[in-house]
Amino acid sequence: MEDVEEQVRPWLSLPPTVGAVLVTHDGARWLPKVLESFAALTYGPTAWRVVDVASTDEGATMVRASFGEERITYAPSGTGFSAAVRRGVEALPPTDWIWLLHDDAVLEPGALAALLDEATSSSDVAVVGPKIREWPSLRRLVEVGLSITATGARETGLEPGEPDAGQHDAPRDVLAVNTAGMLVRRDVWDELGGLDEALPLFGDDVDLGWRVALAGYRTRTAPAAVAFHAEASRRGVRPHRAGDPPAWERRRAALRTVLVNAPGRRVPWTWTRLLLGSMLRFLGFLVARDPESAGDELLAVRSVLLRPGEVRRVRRERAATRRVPHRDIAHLFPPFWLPYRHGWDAFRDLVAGLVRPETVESVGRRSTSGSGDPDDTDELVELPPLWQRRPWLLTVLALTAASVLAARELWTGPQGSALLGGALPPAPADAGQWWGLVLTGAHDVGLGSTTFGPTFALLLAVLATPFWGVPGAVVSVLVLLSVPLAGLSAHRLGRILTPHRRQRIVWASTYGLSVAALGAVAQGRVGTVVALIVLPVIVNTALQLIERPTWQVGLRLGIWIAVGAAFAPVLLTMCAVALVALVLLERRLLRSVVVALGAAVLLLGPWALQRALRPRLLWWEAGLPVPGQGPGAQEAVSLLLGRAGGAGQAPLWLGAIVLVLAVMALVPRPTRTVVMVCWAAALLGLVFAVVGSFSTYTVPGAGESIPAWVGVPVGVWVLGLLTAILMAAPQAAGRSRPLVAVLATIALLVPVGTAAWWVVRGVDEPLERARPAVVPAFLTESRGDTLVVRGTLADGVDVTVVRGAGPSLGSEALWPTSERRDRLVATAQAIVSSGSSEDVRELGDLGIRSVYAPDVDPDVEQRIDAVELLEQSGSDRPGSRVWTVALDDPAVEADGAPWRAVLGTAHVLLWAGAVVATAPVRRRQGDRVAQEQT
Amino acid sequence: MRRTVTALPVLLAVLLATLVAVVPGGGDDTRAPLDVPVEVTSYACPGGPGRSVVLSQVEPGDEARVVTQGDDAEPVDELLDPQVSRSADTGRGDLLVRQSGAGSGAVGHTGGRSGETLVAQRCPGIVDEAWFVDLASTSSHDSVLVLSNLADAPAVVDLGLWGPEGQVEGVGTSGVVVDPGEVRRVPMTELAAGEEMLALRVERQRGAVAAVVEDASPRGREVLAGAPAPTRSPSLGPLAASDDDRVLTLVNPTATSGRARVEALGPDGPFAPEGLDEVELPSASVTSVALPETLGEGPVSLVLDSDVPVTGSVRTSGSGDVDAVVASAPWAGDALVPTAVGGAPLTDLVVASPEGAVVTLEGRSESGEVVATQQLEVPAGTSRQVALDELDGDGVVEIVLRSPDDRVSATGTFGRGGRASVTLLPAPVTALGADVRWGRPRL
Repeated sequence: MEDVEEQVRPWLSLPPTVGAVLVTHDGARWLPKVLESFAALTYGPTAWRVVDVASTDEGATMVRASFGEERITYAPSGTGFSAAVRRGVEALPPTDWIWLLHDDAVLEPGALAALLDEATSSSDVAVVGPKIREWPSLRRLVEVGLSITATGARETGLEPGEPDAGQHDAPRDVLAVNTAGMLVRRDVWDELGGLDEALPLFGDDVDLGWRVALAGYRTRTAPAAVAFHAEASRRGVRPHRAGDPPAWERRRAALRTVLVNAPGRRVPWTWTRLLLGSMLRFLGFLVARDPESAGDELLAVRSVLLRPGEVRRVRRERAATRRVPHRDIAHLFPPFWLPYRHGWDAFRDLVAGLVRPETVESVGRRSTSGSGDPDDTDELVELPPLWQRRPWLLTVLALTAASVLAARELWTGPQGSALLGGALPPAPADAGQWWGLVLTGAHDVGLGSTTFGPTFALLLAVLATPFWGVPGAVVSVLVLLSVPLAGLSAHRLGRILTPHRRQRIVWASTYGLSVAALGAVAQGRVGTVVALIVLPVIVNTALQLIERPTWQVGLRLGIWIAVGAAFAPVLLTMCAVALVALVLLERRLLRSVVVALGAAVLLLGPWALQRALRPRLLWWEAGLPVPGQGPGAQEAVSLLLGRAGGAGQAPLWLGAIVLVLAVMALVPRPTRTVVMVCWAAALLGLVFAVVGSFSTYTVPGAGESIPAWVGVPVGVWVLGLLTAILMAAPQAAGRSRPLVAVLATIALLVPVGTAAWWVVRGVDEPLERARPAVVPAFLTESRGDTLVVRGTLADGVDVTVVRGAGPSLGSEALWPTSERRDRLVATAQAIVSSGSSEDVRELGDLGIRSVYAPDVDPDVEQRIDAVELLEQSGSDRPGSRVWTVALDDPAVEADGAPWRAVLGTAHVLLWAGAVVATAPVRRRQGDRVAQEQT
Repeated sequence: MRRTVTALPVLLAVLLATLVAVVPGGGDDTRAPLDVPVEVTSYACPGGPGRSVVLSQVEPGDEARVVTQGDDAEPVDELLDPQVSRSADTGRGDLLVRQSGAGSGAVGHTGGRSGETLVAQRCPGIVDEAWFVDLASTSSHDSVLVLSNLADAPAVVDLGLWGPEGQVEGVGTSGVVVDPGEVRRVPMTELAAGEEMLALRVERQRGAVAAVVEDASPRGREVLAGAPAPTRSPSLGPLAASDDDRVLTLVNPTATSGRARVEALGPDGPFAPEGLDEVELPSASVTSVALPETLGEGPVSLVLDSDVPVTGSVRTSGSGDVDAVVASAPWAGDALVPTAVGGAPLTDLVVASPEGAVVTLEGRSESGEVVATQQLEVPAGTSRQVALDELDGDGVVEIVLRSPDDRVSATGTFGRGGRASVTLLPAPVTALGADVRWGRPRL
């Protein structure tokens, strides 16, 4: 029998010596099984050494009992794994191989023998590692060899939760193996200096493997050797003690490993890529509401990337052992695109999290909790059809598909075209212009401006930064996909309003479609669109506040109100009225409501103060100040039926169904109270809509009274009515089946009818995808500004000044200084009356290089014609005229005080601070475990 | 009670909607035109042998630039002081004048002897649309359109012609270009030769251009001012007292025939002149009628009430000379006429008013000092002669007619050895300008 074994394992004839080093640190939770597995090894090490790193649990006692005091080395608290191993190796007698063991890794009996099989298969094999499976599930693969991406991500090549079905059982060359069960040739260990002690806990395995490969040796997997690893440190389930490496150590290790081992000529590029990648990860963590990880990212960057001297020193030291060029080991690294695929997976997970399927069936994910029973299995069951399992997901997909169809004319256009029309100006050329509106004191618009940039520009800048060169994509998504987005936010609110899944889905879909139905999308009312997307979130947070009136929830409510009000300032007033009413009913909410409103005002920043000085401007939303409908009989009917007036409104009869059902919702007695509350909220919207119908506002400096657009109040009215129906709907269950069927059919008619109308009509007109044409194309390249003249002698003339192609989203909210504006108006007055060359020189002083009259009567045209120094120039569209100023003055720049830029920066930091302060922080698993243990 | 509470939200909603339906919204956002002080006035004075100009202003100006027409334009030094009324011979050619000063109201007149006849006219400023009637393009009666570009940029005008038989297809009437600083003369014979009666419309398309017509016929020579665009109730005159033959020429440029009723405003009030109850106005054509003697020999003004928009002129001929008065609209403001131009004294000054007016007449010296004043009451529907001898003080060179509130029409006639009439128009002290305001940003 032994002969047979010797034939299979030739090394048995001259068994190599193996010195095992076990490092323990508060591992009492796992050690009983770990020690048991050591005892069961069919082939054991020649020598054992245990290094205990300041264990405070029973672990030290266990290993003493198992190995005896003489085989134990004690290391002080804070000793890293690498340093602990070094101590262990130094205490061992000389052996051919060193075997590294963890206190949370159980071994199969034949593990060492299988490792030696692979280790002795070739003279250049220096490191061998086992196949590692998850403990406690014991079925899922954790690692079968390791590599690292250029961004520092640890790459196993396995799918998350991939079960072990023998698919990775062929031994192969890899870059590295886990230190849990790693078998290393002693001479190579000594040559390379062992594990890098600057990597005390993470990354030491990949680092060693990389150095081994560069030294001309091979690292192999031995899948026949199996270890079950709890990954206690990686998953944060090992209690954290004083002196243990900080949480950001993992990222630091990754950055250091890549930077000190990368090919020399690629170090600058690697450094840059790691820095940019880290900044993106930082933002990603913030978005994903994980500020602790975001902070870790910054600390890791500071620790590695900002210490080039240290990196140079380590690279110099390692150069002595490098014998192989990098290209010879390139096959051991994952392809370049792998990090991006991981990014896509993360994004997909984020979207899935946002959609939050109504039911979740999960298989295959690794878990850190569970019974701990190795026989714990997931049973595969026959699942119901997708529309039953994921009705909301399918609804969102259907709404998205309908949005794409409805906007069929708007997704693409000629080169240089943008989504614009109605109240929507084109997006700027890049996200930097939105940042500029917030962070600079003077703005590059017609006549120059020193007004504060709008707060919504800051929010758009944050959203558009990942898509730097195509900020229009963000606007397109917000406007054209507003229906599914509003539906998603409503659905999250619906979860706390009702347990009835189908009714909730119909309700959320109807609300989402109401954004298009009231005319906001077709009219390019980006302010209304965003405000109505955010509105359910505000209501959701307000309901949380009523339940849990803490300052954090108040702050979060303030943030959401600020987001909505940044796009539609009237929302701030509406929320203030609603919250004050709430406080009058519930005094206990006073403090948190004050926090919410105070935070909202602060976050809206100096722009809000600027608007507050002109209270009527609360009706001016993000985008161009396009007039609303004003009062009238037809308008009254429109408001009642949830239409805000103007182009692109759904048929009124669809709104009539909502109103009738909402009135019927008042009938059932059991739900009457809550339905009345919904009606009260709806009436708040209607009151504001009525007030808005009689309201006008003027753009600062301008004389035109612009009737207010009441899209947001109408949206509140509709949401209130729909919610009243939702709350009363379950009461229909007790009625006769025909009645229920009729009511359900009528209720479904609203979303289905609206969607059908929407898809058939489309969302264009006046919204369109076209090249911006505020002024003729040839004037957009002019060095100076263009004076745009509209109107007639009899009815008056309006003048504006545009720079370049005209206002983009955000810059339309700026206005020039009153001094320049008044000078320009006086000059224009003279020119359209009886102008002279002096008037034209004054235009030149103001930086005007052209005069453009897209729509004036012949009287005005002839008067401009008669002015000296205004040279007639061709226009690019019929009925319009262009004159150029025969002077060569450049455009004037506004002088913004430096403190304005400082204020802008403080505003940005305020937002960041508020978001970080209120984000539901993802606690580290270690903390959670500790808390659970407590 | 409970039912009422339940219905309350619905009632409130209906009430609010009713409010929107019933209560009216904001008013009209249109703005009436404004009177804006004129800062700079430009006009052109046609010159030539035997002619001179008189340049003056209602209020002293800041600066005047007067140059002869052409590439080698020279400043005319004796005409550069905008503080005073000044005159000079224009034998060197046409003059282009540009005078600045807020509300200065600069006005120029040109006149002189042309052979045996006297010509006088106000120097025209920039026109948008000007109508000239009673023109011809025959060998014996030729009219020449004088277009003066008053700016640094090219000017473009379109021309239109009408004759007794209908609209006349002219040659090269569209897009007539006048280069910067150029005074271009366009004979009617070049546009439509052989027409014995023509009406001409000048319509400015681009640039700053002034227009007059120099008319030469066996009846005499005259510089004709442009009449404004046709209206349904134009005024002609007032005409100075005369027993010479008078001919009314009207043009109806529309495609519709019409009739015009004529009312005369005489010294004693309005009356319907016998034999001139109505004038037939064939479509798109020019019509001439001799004015009957029933108009009397005193000053008279004609007011038309027409079915269709018309404009025209009254030609007075006799004693070897001719003069013409073109249609105009009554005005309120300050007008200015020199007491002599081209050596011919102002012999008659007639003021008419449809609604009645009290006008102030000031006789002013060369420096603008008021030497003599006169109040003239013009009852409604009358035409009154100004007693020029009462204004003939020491050193009076110009008469300013001030009618700040009441609408009037006025004509000055120069004579002795010929006659020439000038229709007084308000000096360009203010201009009707659009009410300009800062607009809202838009696409």
